[in-house]
Amino acid sequence: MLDSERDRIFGEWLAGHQGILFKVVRAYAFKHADRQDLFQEVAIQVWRSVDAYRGDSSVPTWMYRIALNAAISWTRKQGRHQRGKQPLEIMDGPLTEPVAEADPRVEWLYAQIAQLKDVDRSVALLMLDGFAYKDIAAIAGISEGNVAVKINRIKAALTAQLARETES
Amino acid sequence: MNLDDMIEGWRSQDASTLYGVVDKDRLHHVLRQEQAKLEKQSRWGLWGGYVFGVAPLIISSGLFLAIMLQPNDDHVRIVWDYVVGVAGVAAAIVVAWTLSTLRQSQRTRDHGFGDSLRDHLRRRVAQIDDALRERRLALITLAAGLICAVAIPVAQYRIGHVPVPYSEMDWPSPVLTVVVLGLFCLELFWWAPRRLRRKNLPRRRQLEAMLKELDGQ
Repeated sequence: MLDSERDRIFGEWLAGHQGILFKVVRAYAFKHADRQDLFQEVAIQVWRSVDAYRGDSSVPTWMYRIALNAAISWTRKQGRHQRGKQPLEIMDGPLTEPVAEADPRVEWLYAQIAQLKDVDRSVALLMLDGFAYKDIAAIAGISEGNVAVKINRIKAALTAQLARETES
Repeated sequence: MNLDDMIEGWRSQDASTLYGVVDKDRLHHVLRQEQAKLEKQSRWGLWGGYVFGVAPLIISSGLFLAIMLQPNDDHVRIVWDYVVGVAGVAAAIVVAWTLSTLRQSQRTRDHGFGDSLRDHLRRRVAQIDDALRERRLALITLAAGLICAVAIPVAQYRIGHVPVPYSEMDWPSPVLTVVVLGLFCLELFWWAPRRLRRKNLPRRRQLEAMLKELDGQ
């Protein structure tokens, strides 16, 4: 594939589904500099994946798949960085600061997602975005039954937390 | 407020204002840098293949041919000349073949995994496992490299108008040879594997934990 063709397709994907990248970045990185770094990494991986896309799944499913894999790899690398092996300072990334106040419901959900383990975080994001169990199973590489169990557990934990906060 | 309200809020969020805006120029610049990096990696991979695979083969074959074809030396060419030439070329072929099959098997392995998160994690584990047990390649490369390293200077001695007899060649002392070989073996089979394990085992354990987490219900 020509570079210009890849750039064009990537541009279309980004224009249509950039929210996916934002959500993944937000769920896995918690500081502005880290978000810049992760967004850059995720965008590069999605850009590189354009050649491999065969249309077997929808573009959002594909982008989620690539973005989540990239985010989980980044998290592991980040763990090594944080153990002092390599300082990370990327301030001038491709992402500007948010310009609007976040919906408190969304903020609350992000706060809860951040408490989950890496893999469950992926499942939670896909569940919140309304992906079918079949798609989540394909993205994560687990059975639909396992997806159902995980989602039930996540929903139960969220409901319980919500109830606790409402009472208090 | 219940969970359904929360999820409804999630699905109605305005992505572009909530998360900031993508600076397209900057992103374009990042992608161009990535492209340049990929091209550079590919060039280095190609040159690495030439240097470690093709170059020894060409040098050994050239020297071998030079021994065989040089005129006026019918009375000095002996069977060891053929042995040295053939051993040098064979060693070079073995190195080139080993590198080529290794690359092929890595490509096949990488393509054998799908795109799911599980496959992504399993691919990483397989890559680490490969790095940890690359003794076969180390052994073959060491043996073939040593044969090449001996065959090439010997062949050089035997090329020329007055070839040097084997008995008059400057052979390294046996002690020095044993020490150098010993250090090579220690590095390849003791120090390097220990370094690799120290570097990779924590990553492997982390990946395994994530795979377990993926399977856990």
